[in-house]
Amino acid sequence: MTSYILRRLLFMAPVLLGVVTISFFLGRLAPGDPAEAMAGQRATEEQKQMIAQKYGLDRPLAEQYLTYLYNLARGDLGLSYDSHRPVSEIIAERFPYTLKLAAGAMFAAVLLGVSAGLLSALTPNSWYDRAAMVIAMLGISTPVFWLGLLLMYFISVRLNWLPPSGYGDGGIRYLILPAIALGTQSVAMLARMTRAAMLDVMREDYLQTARAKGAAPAVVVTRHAFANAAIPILTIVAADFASYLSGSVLTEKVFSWPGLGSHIMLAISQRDYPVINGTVLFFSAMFLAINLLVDLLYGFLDPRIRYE
Amino acid sequence: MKKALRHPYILLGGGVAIALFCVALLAPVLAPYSPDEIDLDAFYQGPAWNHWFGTDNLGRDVLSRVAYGSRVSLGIGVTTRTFSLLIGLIVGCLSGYYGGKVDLVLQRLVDITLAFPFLLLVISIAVIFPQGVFAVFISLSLVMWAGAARLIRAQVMVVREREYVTAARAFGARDFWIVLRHIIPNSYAPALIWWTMGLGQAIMAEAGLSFLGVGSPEASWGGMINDGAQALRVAPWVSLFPGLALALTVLAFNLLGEGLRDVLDVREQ
Amino acid sequence: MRRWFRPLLCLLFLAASACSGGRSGLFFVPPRESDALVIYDIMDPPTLDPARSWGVVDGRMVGLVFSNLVHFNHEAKVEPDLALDWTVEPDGKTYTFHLNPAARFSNGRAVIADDVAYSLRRALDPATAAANRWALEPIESIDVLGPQELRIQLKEPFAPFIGLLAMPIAAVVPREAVEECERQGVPFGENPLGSGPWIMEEWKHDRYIHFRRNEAYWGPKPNLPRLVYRVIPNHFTAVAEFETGNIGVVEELPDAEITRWRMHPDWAPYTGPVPLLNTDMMLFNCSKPDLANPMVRRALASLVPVEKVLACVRQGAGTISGGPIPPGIIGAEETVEPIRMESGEAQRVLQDAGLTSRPFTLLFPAKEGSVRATAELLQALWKRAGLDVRFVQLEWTTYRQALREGDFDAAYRGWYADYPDGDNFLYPLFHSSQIGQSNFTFNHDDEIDALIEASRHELDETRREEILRRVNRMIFERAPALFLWHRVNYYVRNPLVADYQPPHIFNGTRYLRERIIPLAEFEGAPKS
Repeated sequence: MTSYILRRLLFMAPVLLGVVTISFFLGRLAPGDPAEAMAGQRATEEQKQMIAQKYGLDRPLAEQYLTYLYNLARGDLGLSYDSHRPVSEIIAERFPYTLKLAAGAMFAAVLLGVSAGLLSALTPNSWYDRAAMVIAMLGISTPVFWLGLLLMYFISVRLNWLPPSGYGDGGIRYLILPAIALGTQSVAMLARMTRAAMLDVMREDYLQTARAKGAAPAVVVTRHAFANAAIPILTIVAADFASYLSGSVLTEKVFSWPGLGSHIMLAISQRDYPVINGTVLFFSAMFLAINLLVDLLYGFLDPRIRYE
Repeated sequence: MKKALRHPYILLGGGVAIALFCVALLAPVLAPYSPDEIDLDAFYQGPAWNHWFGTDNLGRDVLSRVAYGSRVSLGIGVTTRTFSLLIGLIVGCLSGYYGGKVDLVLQRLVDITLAFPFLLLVISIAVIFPQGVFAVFISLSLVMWAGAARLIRAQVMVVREREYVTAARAFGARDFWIVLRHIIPNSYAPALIWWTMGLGQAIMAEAGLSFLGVGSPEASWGGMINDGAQALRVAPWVSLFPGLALALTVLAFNLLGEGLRDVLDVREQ
Repeated sequence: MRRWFRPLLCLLFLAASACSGGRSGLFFVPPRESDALVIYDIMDPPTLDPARSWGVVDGRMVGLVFSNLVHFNHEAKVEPDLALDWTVEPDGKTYTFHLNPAARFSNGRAVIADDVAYSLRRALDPATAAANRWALEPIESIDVLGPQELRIQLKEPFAPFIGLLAMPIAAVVPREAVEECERQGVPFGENPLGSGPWIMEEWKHDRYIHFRRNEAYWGPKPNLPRLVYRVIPNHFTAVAEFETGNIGVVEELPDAEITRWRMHPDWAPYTGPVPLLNTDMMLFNCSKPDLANPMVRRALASLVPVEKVLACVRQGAGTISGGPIPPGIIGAEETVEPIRMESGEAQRVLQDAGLTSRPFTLLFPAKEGSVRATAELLQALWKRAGLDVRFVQLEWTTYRQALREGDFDAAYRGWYADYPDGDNFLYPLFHSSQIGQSNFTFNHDDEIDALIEASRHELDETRREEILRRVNRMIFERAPALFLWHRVNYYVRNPLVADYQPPHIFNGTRYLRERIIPLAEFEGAPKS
């Protein structure tokens, strides 16, 4: 087990190195450099050179890259060109918001998806079943930003039930709309998994056995179905959770949510390389960590899985 | 095949998909106006007999733009999906068939791509190639191939061990031939489903890029929704109709994918 | 109650309340905060350090916390701030300022001439790498003559100099606070300390900045004890926040919604125009051989019915442009005579120049709102005349680079005043020495250059106005750019927010007069 974890961690290193490398050179490939972005509307060539010099952008690319890696190895993500603050501080400050949004979205998705799946499975292949599935699919069929704006308009402005945007005092009221807008992406998959798992169980023998023993069928079905569906659902939850973390840019922009996503858009347009690279690296590390965690959870949920 | 044609999801999804492709092909015939024809005296007009879907901020006919927009949106969806499937096929086959060091290296490449934050990668690439539809196509393809590669690799590894493949290899058949003859036909089902189910994702990603200002400069549904979204209170029809078109398309392809999954009996990995 | 009844009832209620658009009478939600004005902008300011400030958002915030020698009032007129008065020697190069002895930093220390000198020198220091360094570059030397007396020597006479001192970069900072920050390794821009009417109390990045009234402020204090600046990246969202009472005033209504508020019978009294010192134009790249010919450029311009375009893309919110200088400042054109050509004539000129037989690139930045619509419209209009217009939409920094490299035939450009003088719309944009730096017309015109230079050195107000007017008209006629309009924004305020003064220049308000009326005292009490 320990050796398995160690081996997985070892494999992460080259992946992260690759991510950093791509992110680093992708930034340099982009037309327009930080000096262009920072120098203002009336900058002279000389002034741009001054800025480039200040941030070491006039050094050979290979040297810049190695310097970056060297600093990275020492745990230093650098300073933002824009605000002169440490990148690690920027990430630490905004990530909790993103995490909260992703968690809220996942919760909404599981709630909606699992209940839709359960309802569908009760009367398989009826029109009711089909309709539930189609409705569940509507979530992935609507652009997040549009759905968000519609929700905001009707729920907040017209009905005045929830605040339109922002983080407010951190209350749950502020989280509901963005979480729904983001979470609908996963509802269809979750609904399908739950439905399939339920149907599998209902076909199987232990239902008969349980019934023979006099247990209430609903209880049996639910318990077994969840045991059966746990792994596929967990897989989706994990994969989507990871994508929510880095993919909440649109939702954050619509709902003025102060997370990392909205910040990185600014960083990209400002060519704030340290912030871009740092955030990309951070998201990738999160992705890998979540995957590892999920693989370990599999073993916990299903003792048949062995780690070699 | 018969089974397929009786499946309600396939019927519904496939029907809509075919209709959509027809609209895209026949846009010049179907659209009552040119999509770029402006009318400075008739902006933000609600749906009426001469403009079924109303007009937008420049007095352009929304119906015609939705019809023509299908070309851009479907085009981006189909080309990205096909292109990334091709890359994925090549990488997946190499990786799964040869294994060993080739596999090790290629899989790290896949890992890197998957670990890279999807949207950020797409945005960065779209910024680098600022020439419109092509940039969107390239950026989406460069991100999406990894999923296909992983899928195909898994298939290949299963097929590779089957008796007829080992037999063919024992008879000295060339690798290329084996892949072409045995491996690809045996992995077509998951690949087809992957292609179908992800089409909507590609169209949706383009819409997202539009919202962030780096989408296609030609009228795509995503771009139209975004432009119209700012006028949601004043002229809801401007974003409503492209929004419905987009939702319908994505829904259709997802239904189709679901149906295919049922019929071809492919299990989730 | 039957089982199906409740959901049905809910659904009906939802539908009814969602569709009840036709409420009559003024309906509004009173501001959530009764002691604070809440405003917003679409981004988090990168820094509140005056020397490093480069944008509109940070510039506005700097103006709240810091004081300059002079500042702009909401109509963009220069007013004394730290300086009680100033004198200019007849050579036009020597400015002597007398500081207000009452001026204090918010930590209680008196503001003295040394602080002013330190601040300006700090902004000029190459190590600071200030983006707007150009604003202080006319300065030759700064001499402290006494605790309250300061002399600034210019390299050469520059008539609009005083306006430059009201820019954020010239704000006065206390040396000890800056150095303390440096010692602790924290950016001064995160911990600003100045002598302005507001004190920054709390800054949650990408969420809000809370300002509290500087109770020890040495000038007229703000009416409201608090000012809240919120970050809302999307305009639609911002309007939703306004409608729910979370924002006191929307200072710039999104293009699509201008008419909706302005023409609403109940809301119209609470909206108002904000004439901006701005010019939106479509630059022509005069380094292209065919576009070097003014006739060709005039032909292109004549094909655009600017007034109609304005009505369409900005719902008429602007004034038709008669040259680079916007109305309200020295040198502006009073009567606008659009460039006209006989129908068919323009087309013939373009054909003869060969413009119809080559691709024509139209460059614009990817931004929300009217910019893209304008570009699309011009594309359509020029296409009608037979041009093969290629559309290039670029993200902001890439767009800047393309401009600099002259990689376009026509390019959208919006320009906002840094200081309220015609010169700000002429020298950077049309003087040939600025080509590739801020002049992207690539137009060399000795006559225009000479006139612009003359206007900079002319100290007599009347003669100067005459020169500015002449060169303004000349540029319009020779059309190195198609001049579109000068934007007029519209604000809408919560009916309980009183005495709002919309700024015509970005840092032209410090929110001193704004009040919030208690609901009970409001005349047309809401019918909700």
